[in-house]
Amino acid sequence: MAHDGPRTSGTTAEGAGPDSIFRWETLREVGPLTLPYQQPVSGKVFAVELVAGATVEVFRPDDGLFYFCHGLTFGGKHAPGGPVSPFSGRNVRTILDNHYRRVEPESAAAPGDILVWRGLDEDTPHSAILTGPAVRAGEKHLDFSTLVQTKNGRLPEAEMTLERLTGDEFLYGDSLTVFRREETGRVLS
Amino acid sequence: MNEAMTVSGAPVTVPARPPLVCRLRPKAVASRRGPVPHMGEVELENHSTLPLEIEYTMTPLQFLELVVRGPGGVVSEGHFSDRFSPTREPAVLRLLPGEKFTSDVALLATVPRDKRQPGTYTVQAAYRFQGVRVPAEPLTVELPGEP
Repeated sequence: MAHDGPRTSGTTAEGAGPDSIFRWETLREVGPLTLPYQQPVSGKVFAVELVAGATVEVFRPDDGLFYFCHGLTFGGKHAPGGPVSPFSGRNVRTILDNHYRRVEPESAAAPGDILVWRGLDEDTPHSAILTGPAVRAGEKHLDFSTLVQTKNGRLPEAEMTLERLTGDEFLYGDSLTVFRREETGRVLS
Repeated sequence: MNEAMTVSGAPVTVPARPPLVCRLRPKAVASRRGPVPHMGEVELENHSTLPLEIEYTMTPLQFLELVVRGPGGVVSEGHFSDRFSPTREPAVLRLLPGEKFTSDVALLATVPRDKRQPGTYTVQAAYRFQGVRVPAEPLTVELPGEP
C-alpha cells in the first residue's frame, strides 16, 4: 500500500481563477441568513451561476472568513470579495451533475479528486479534497490511511486521514463517493 | 393540566413529562473498513399524544449535546453540531405519538484525539427541543491503554 502520486495542496486558488466552476460576475444577493450553530454564524445567501449554466445558492458570512466543507471542496473559499460555501444537498448535487463525474472504482482516485458523503434523503453532509489516496493491493476502496484536506463544519480546515472522518470522531460514515472534475465544464467558459 | 390529586383531595403538582425522550446506548457499528470503536445510538421518542416536528438544516442531531467527562473532568470541546454543514432549505423530522427516531453517534465525537487517554469516560447526551434540554441517561466508555 502506498500513497498514490504527488499530493496537492488542497488549498489551491481554483475557485478564483479561470478554472473556477462559478461565474462570479453573476453573484447576486438573495437575503440574510444565520447558520444555526451553537455560536450562530450570520451572513447572506447569494445565488451564482455555474460555468455550465445552472444556478446554485451559496452562503457568505458577514465576517468575511467563515466557510464550510463545500466552500473548500468546490473553490468558493477563494471567491472574489470573500469566501462562499455552496449549501449541502440540492446545490452540491447540481454542481456534481454539471461539473464532475464519478470515479469508479475508488481505487482509481487521484490527488485533486473530491469525496462527497451521502446523508439522509438527498443530503450531502460533507465533502473533502483528496490529497493522498492510499489503496491496499487488491482492494477497490480507499484505505483508512488516505489523506484528505477537509473543513468539518465550523471547525478549522485541516489535512486528516479518512479514518478520522469515517470513524469515531467525525462520523460522516463510509457512504462516500469519489468525483473528478469534468474538463467540459472549463470548455463552456 | 400538570396536577394530580392526593387521596385527601389536596392538589399535588407533578413535573410535566417532556414530550420527547432522549436515550443513548452503546452500539456495535461496522463500516466497510471494519469495526468503528466507541459508537452508540441516540433514540428520540415522542412521548406526547401529538405529532412532534423537529425542523433542521443540518441533521436531526444538530440539537444534540455530547458532554464527556474523563478522569480529570470535562474533556469534550465545542458542540456536536459544529462538524456539520447546512442545507439551504430546512427539513422536518416528524414523529407521531410513540414513534422513535434513531441514529448512530460517535460517543467521543466531541473529544479531541489528544485528550483521549486510557481510562473511564462518562458520556452525557442531551437533546434540546422546544427550548428544553432533555437529558439521556449517562453512558460509560472505557478507553483501553495501548497494548
